[in-house]
Amino acid sequence: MLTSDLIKQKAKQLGASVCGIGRVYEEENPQRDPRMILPNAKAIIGFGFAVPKGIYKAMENGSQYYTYTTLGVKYEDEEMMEIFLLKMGGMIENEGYDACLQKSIPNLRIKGDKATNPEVKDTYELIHAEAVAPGKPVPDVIIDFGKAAKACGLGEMGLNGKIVNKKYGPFMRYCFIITDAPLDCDEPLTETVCDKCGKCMEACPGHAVTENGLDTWQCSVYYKGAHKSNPFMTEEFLKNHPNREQIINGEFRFDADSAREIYKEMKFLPDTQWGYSACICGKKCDIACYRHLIGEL
Amino acid sequence: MDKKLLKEKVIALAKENSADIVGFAPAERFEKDSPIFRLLPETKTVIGLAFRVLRGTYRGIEEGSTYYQYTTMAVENMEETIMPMALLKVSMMLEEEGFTALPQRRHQQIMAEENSTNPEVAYDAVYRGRTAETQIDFLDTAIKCGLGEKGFHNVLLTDEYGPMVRYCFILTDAILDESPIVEPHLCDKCGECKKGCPGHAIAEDGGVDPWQCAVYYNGANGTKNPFMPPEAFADFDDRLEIISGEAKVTPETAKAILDKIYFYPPAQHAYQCSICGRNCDVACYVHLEEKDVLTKKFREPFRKRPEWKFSVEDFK
Repeated sequence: MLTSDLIKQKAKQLGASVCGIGRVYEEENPQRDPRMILPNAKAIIGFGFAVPKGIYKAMENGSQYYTYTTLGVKYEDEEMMEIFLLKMGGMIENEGYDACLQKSIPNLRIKGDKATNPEVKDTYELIHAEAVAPGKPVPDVIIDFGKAAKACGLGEMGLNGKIVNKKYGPFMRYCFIITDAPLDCDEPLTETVCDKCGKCMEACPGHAVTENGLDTWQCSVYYKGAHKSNPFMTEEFLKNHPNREQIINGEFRFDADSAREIYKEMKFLPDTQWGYSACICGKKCDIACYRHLIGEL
Repeated sequence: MDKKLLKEKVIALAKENSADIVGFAPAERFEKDSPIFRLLPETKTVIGLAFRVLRGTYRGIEEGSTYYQYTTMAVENMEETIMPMALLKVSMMLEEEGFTALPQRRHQQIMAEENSTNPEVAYDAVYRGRTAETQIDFLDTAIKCGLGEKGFHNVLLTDEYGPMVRYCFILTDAILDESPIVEPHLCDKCGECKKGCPGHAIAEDGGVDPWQCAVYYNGANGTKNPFMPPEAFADFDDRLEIISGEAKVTPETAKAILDKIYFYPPAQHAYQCSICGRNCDVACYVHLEEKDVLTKKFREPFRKRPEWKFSVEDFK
């Protein structure tokens, strides 16, 4: 018999650092609604995978960047969690319930979402999508990972747009399963994890975090290394650009068009498979957040 | 957790995630200016994980019957799927126990050198001169972890699998009991690896010319490449030297030759398909097997018949 305890036990055994099971929640935006993916959904199961903090330390001391992108981002999302989800999903479907696997979709934006994902070389908004029948949302439905994590009691969206977990801070990545299995659910997270201290704002070399949250286009440019703290930057970078100084000092404001123009100039380290860009800002926002959460900042 | 128990837990988890050999090097085995301390100054132990490359993945090229399985399964899948899983799971477990762990895999497309290459990936996918991206010396670290010894052609030789292994590491501040360094006893400098290379990329002292290797790894020797059309390299004055493996390349001529090798598709992640089938390693393995010094035994020897070869006359 499929129980919540069994699922949590199996998740731990297969490598998840945390697992929480939430009731399917009310979602105003049908394009984000888990019930539009599985109409009779009863629960959403959340899984978090810790990114070893040693990887962040190597970026913090300026010695190595690519391990974060290859192992901490690309591998965790595209291999580790996919294999995990298939195994967990198989276990649920073996008991006769549906298991709708929800991994991150890094390069797609739902219709109307003008933001981007700084972790990939570019994103595509599904602008031509149409609903397939009356009452249906425009595809793709992509759930809000922040809301889902909160429903599962795992964490909440922090000021810098990362989900913050009480134990692991922002050093964690997530995936979910929407299911019609009648599982005992955990309580949603009610306590505050992100206290809006602003340390992430201060740490971002590109001033991409504001009191209103993350400016994803601004973040995407500095994530990829536009700031002068980038150890791979040479004098040749944007040599004849009229705004070079402003840009490399993190003072220029980017929108989608200007960000995409600058992307072409940023070839500091290779992209990985599936278009993940090398993270050269060193995730200073996440590191500052973590240090604040453990009382160092 | 007691360090003996922690070590046992590391070994068990690594093996559960496909590692075949696990070794431990204390920080004292590394020079003070070693890259490991730039990466993680608090490093107390380096954990080495070696993964066997299944002998069967070399079989297709040995027989001249199938080529893609070696690159996809023995190179790409191991480097990009299997080994990262073990690295992350062991690292996560160490951090769960309160330590810091920094996994180290090869970054195949990044190098500090300005004019070198990595034969396993497309030369134009390599980012050179990236000195700010610290990378450890994999072979030296493997030896310090007690995974095996250095072979003549600068590869790791293990007691179990000879040169048929790939490996990666975890730097951690956990103190774990060390593994003994292996006293070299496998490589007898027989030179079979040198003779086995279809492109003469291995020098008298065992050094490997990466551009020479890249050209012939990718299949420039027509006598060992069943996909090469008779008119290959038609624009090259020294085409028969290239096809017979006698040409001595420079970085520039190597790039020109590689640009004309279109006979077989690459794999994902910029990996190029190996047409030589790592014949240096195979020749080494065959020699070690003949000497009966490897601890992993098979029912049948790897080499079952003389190596096949086309004639260079076919390309005249």
